[in-house]
Amino acid sequence: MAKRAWTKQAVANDLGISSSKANRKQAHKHRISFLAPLTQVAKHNWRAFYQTLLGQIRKPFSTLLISGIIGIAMALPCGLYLLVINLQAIEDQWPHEPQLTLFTHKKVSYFEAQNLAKKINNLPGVKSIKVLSPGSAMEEYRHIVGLGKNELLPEQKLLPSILIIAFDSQSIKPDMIKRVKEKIEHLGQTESVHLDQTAVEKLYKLIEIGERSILVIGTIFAVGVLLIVGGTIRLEIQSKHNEILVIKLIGGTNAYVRRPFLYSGFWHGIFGGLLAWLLTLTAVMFLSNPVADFAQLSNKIFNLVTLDMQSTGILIGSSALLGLLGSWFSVGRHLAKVEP
Amino acid sequence: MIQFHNVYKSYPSGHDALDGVSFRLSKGEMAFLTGHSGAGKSTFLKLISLIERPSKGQILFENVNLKSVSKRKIAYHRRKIGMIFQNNLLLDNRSVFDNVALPLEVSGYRTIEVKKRAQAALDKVGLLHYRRKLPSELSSGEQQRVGIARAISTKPNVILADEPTGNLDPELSSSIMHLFEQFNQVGVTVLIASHDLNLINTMPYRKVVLDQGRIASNQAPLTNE
Ligand SMILES: Nc1ncnc2c1ncn2[C@@H]1O[C@H](COP(=O)(O)OP(=O)(O)O)[C@@H](O)[C@H]1O
Ligand SMILES: [Mg+2]
Repeated sequence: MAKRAWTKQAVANDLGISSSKANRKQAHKHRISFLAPLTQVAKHNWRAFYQTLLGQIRKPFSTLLISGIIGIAMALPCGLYLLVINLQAIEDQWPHEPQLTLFTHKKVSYFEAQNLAKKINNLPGVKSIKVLSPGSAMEEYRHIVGLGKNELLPEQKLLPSILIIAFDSQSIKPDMIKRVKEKIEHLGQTESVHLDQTAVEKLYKLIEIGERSILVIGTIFAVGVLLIVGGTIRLEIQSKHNEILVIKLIGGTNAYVRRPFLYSGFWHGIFGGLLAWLLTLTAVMFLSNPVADFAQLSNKIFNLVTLDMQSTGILIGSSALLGLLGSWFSVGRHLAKVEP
Repeated sequence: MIQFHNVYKSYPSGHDALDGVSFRLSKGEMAFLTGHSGAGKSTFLKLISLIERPSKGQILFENVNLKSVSKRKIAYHRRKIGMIFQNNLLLDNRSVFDNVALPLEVSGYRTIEVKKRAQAALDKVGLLHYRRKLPSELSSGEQQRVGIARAISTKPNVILADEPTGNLDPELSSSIMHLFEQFNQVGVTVLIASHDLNLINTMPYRKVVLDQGRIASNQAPLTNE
């Protein structure tokens, strides 16, 4: 009888059910002490945080090796990013005057050409249009072809007008120009429309390639960093096999065991990020003189854009995050295998 | 305190280490678990500390059915037990003091409390003066005592010891057994697995003899004192 009641109590305890006053009191006590584990966790977090840091400082060679690999992996996409940013800065400085040259049909009169110009002027992105009359167009043509003043052109009376369409350089993008060109062709009355491809547009294409490469290379190297940190943490777990075992045997929770490894990954990431930052700055410094010379030669005021506060933060932050993630994966995979 | 109800344990290899064991250890009792090598003594202790789970049967610890202790709660269960291992499992990259302080740190004691309790535990086993040494600098008897200090640093209600005198000479062995007697005298429940019959037979405690995973005899202590 007594034994039965006793087991009932055991079951109640297991399920956290409390009916009697005494039990309720105990439950209350539990609730108060509920905060205690939180402060414990905070304390151990802090300890793991600085002890893993100290641990890495104590073995500078291996720390430098791993951070070096991470640093290079992070510096490459970072350098590419700076390259693109700088190309963009160059592009911004360059006079951007994309223009279309339109030749009307020969039968279109100057008056009709002017009407056509008005229509085109309403198309998006078009800033201004210059209409060259067949006469002045003739002069232009003579000049281009290299005919003398008195030489007669064949079919001189049937000359086209020329429309030079300028775009608003601030807002226009190459694909918009292409769309405008297609629309003009649809309007009729035109013999041909030519897009004047400038060096700036080629630069623009280059920037686009660069932007995509950052994504691709960035992703590849991010995966690389994950693998490096994951492998490093795996080795750390293996070398601390006994320690993990003992801590688990004397009542260490999985979270307790996991924590130092996570922080270790975090520090690898931080150091790697710092190194990447240093590498990038060095590269920028190394390049700044030739770039300044180039700017002077091309009569431009151009300062090499370097990593600002925000991108430095993003670089080091994402590196730390990758370190944390890498160790997270590794810890998840390998720590469970260490069971007493 | 500890109850086994018809407990079976077979390892994945197919070996039946425990074969229908029922057993009860009262609060504040001290008992020996004995039997030849391979009889299942270590398995018995591992089931209590949830290093292993029974294949069949129930184990109650402080009135809690261990079946209800989930994987995540195992750590908290182990904090209630002071475990001593045959190969003492000390960490050789930490000082004697840090080894003893480890369970306290793991359980989240305050720094002052950690220091106080670890020193008290080391003092109890008479090794406070070695606190700054590394375990490898101590003799095997001293190492075993450091292991005991670590087990008692959190003042658990239960001590489980697996061959604590494993490869020690008789004199050291009896001094270690004497330590366990002292803990028992202040109310700690003690269960010691040992095959050292010469030593055990001189001591007035219950002897549970295991043979091929079954309890062969469960002898109450002599009461002729
Ligand atoms: N992890 C294990 N895997 C498989 N068999 C085991 C394992 N641990 C113990 N055994 C077997 O279980 C039996 C009991 O072992 P154990 O409990 O260590 O006995 P004792 O401690 O009394 O020497 C032995 O036959 C042993 O081979
Ligand atoms: Mg054994």
